[in-house]
Amino acid sequence: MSELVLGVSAYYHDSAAALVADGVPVAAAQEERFSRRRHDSAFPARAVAYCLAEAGATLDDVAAVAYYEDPALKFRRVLATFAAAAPRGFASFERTLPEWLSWKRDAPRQVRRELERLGLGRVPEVRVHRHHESHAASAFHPSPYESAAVLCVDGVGEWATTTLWHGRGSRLEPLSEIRFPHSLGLLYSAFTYFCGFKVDSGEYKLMGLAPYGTPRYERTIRERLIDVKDDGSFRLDMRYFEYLRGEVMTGGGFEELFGGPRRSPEGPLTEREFDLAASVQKVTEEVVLRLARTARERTGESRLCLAGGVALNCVANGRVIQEGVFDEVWIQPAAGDAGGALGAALLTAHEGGAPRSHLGTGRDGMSGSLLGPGYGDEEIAAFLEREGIPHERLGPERLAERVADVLAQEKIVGWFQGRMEFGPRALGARSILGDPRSPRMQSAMNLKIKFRESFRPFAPSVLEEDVKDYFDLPQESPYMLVVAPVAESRRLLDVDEGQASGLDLLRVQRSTIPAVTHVDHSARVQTVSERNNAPYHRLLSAFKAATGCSVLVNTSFNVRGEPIVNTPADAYTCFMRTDIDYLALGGFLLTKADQPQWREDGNWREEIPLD
Amino acid sequence: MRKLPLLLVYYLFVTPIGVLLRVTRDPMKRRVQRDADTYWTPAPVRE
Repeated sequence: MSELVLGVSAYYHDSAAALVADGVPVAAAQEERFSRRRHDSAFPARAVAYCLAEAGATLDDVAAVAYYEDPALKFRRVLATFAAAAPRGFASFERTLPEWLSWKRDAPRQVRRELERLGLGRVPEVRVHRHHESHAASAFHPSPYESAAVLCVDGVGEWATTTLWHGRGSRLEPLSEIRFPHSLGLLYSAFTYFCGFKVDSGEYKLMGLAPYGTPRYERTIRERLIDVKDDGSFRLDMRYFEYLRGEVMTGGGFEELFGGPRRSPEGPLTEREFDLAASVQKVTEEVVLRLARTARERTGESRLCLAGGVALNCVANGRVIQEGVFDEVWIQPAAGDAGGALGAALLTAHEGGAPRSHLGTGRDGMSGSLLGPGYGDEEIAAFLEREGIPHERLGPERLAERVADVLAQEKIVGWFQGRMEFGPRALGARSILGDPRSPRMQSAMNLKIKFRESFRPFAPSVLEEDVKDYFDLPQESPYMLVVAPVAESRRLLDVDEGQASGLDLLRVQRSTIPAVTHVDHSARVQTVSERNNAPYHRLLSAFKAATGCSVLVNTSFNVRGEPIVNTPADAYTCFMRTDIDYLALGGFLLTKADQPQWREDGNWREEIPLD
Repeated sequence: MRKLPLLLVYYLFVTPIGVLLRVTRDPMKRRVQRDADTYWTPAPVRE
């Protein structure tokens, strides 16, 4: 049997487990998909059980468990933070110290206990890796590059918030770092908080908001909040931030600089929030660009690997690519902390001598990030029969054609195929799809399907072979982590914005694919290849054959605040609760009009917390 | 009743240590240094 390493990330947010066999990722999933609690931070018991089941293994077969950060070192940072904040941080001290003392500083022991409780065999040695080391490994080891520069940028793990590495073969050499409290991720989170969104999840909304604003606060941010050197290294002026004290991100300092108190959550969005978003986004892009240039200079490499929460900022990633800082960029699809589980497992595996066996194939080692649970047609058929759900059984070709046809009639389709994605983006395994040519699709999908804010843009999937016809993107983007401009040839000239301003700007048709064109003509592109996702590629090809258009709107299969669906039952529930018209469940097609009336106790909308 | 011991520890130990550290060596490096060339620090040597 191959040598198995189990990776675990837990106890902060987005807990996950990953299983690596002889250095190859074979299974990985976030706990939230099983527990149905978004960004679940609990020990990933069900994700671990799934990973082992996927490989037909028990803990007896696992050579080592790898934990994604060093809690003892992190505890020292937490203590130093208490000291730095005193005497004004007692609330945070009182709230967090007891759990650090009782178990958190020895999290690996807790991991061992939780694994023993699963009753899945003898628990092997638990090895600890540093937080950024885990990120760096998740970025470099599965990348298609023999050697590369590696840049990790996030909020904070132990001390490091930004790290630069040189990856060669199976070795990762640390070069330089920037330490807490100076953090680009926390700067972005501070603005997320100040604009009334949730820290650690609302950053995406802030990025989506940025194109509506003008960066009129950029100078203030650069002069007062962050000092950025030419080489991209930076320091924050901590007089303006409150996070050392632990309870909130910002306070009086921000209020003075940016005209009054923070926006209350779910309060109205004003010009100020648009402009704050645009400003912090611009500063972030500038810093990331400089960091990337430094990475190139320091390593001499022509390829870059990215991970860490800030690597989910696909607009900044797009800038790095557009500016041609590197010849090519590869971004770990689970760039946030969930990916730490995979990185830690890969570190342990490669330290033990496992080869990077995907090198030379021209592909990365992530299997399209389709590393989660899959459900075969027999399993789905049993579910449909058991629940008495009306359906049609179609072959793969016929299914693609039928779905393409209904999509072309502006119907909205739930697309549930194969193994679930690992990482925050839906990549055509658990997706809701629509016709990007339809001017009404964007607002219909936001309000009637996702029940989320109307300003949020949607992303396109495009046949990899046709990407240049639609977007100015010089490389592939299989994980939807790169924003690129819509090609000039697809843009509409002389767009009349009329009276539209603020959020209404999104309703103005700017291109032949309006549903996925943001107000600045940008789009967060996913390129789809047959080797990464054959069923989805087949569907896009059928849609192209039916309409001449190689693009679909792709949004995650969930409603606002809910994790992406995992099982056929999750998918059916989401299908019935929303205005999705068809559900393609494996080889089966379900039509909304044929379904019995959906009944459930209580108001499900109230049970899902807002994100 | 764990609040009292925490209060005592916080104000009798953490606070004086914190204030002293801030005055002497500012471990969090809270001040920006406009005239410095870089804020990069070498990666720590791994044990």
